Amino acid sequence: MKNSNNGKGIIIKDIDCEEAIKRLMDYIDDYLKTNRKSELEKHLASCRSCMDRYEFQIKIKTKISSLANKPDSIISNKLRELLDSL
Amino acid sequence: MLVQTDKTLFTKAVLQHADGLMRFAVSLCRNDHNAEDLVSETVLKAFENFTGLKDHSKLKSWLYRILYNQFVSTYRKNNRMKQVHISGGGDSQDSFSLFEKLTATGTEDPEKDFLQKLTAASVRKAIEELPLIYRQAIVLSDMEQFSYYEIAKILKVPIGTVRSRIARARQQLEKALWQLALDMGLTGNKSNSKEQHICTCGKEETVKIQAHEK
Repeated sequence: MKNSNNGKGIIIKDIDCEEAIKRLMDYIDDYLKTNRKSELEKHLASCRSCMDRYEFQIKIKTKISSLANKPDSIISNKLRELLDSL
Repeated sequence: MLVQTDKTLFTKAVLQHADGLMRFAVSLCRNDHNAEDLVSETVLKAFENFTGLKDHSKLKSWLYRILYNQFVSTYRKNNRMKQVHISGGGDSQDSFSLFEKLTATGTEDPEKDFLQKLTAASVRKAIEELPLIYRQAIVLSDMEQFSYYEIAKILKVPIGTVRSRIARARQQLEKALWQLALDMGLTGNKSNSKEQHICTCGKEETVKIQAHEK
């Protein structure tokens, strides 16, 4: 595979699995710059193993974030009383 | 002094973020009673300073920042943070990967099997056992959905520190979850199999190599 151009003049380099894995969590956290993101996305589109790893990390992160989704509020009576007293 | 409209606005804002503030407080204090006190102190402090908040789009991170400041000033004074700092920073950043550990077991779809059996309670427990600096980073990032930039502002640390703390938090969390997988017996019988990741993107990517049993 060769480096490619995304049509906006930005060269999208090929990266290997080691580099892709290094960037994965920054990508998931939306902390990658555009060109590094494009390079990773290009890699993920062609590498099943890295894509599996990416999907796994997303699911772990979703498990953690779902801890915040409680149907019942945990606001205490103490806090409600405090707000009423303000 | 706040006028009635501001009071209503303030109460609405606090109620909107109260659950998240309580979660963050519990993750800091590891104790519901102290967490409730911390949230109450935060609300009082925020109420005093609410008129000074110019940009209401930053209200959520402003509340969390006040909470964290209150925690540091109140609880650090009482030496409750001492042990946390000692145990929090020294861990080296090795490259442990739960995904690699699971896929190396040689069982059928081990990562899917693991995720299916992984309960919310187990994840919560693993997070609770992280040292404070990692616990607060992962809670703010993955549970409260703050960006690295916002977390840096809340904790008053450089953004690079936030990034490395989150990375280390995930490493430690994955180690804890791997231990859980071992306890669950999800690692199969092929304990001496290993996986070699071959970078042949788009072709046959992964080759599982069975170690020869003697």
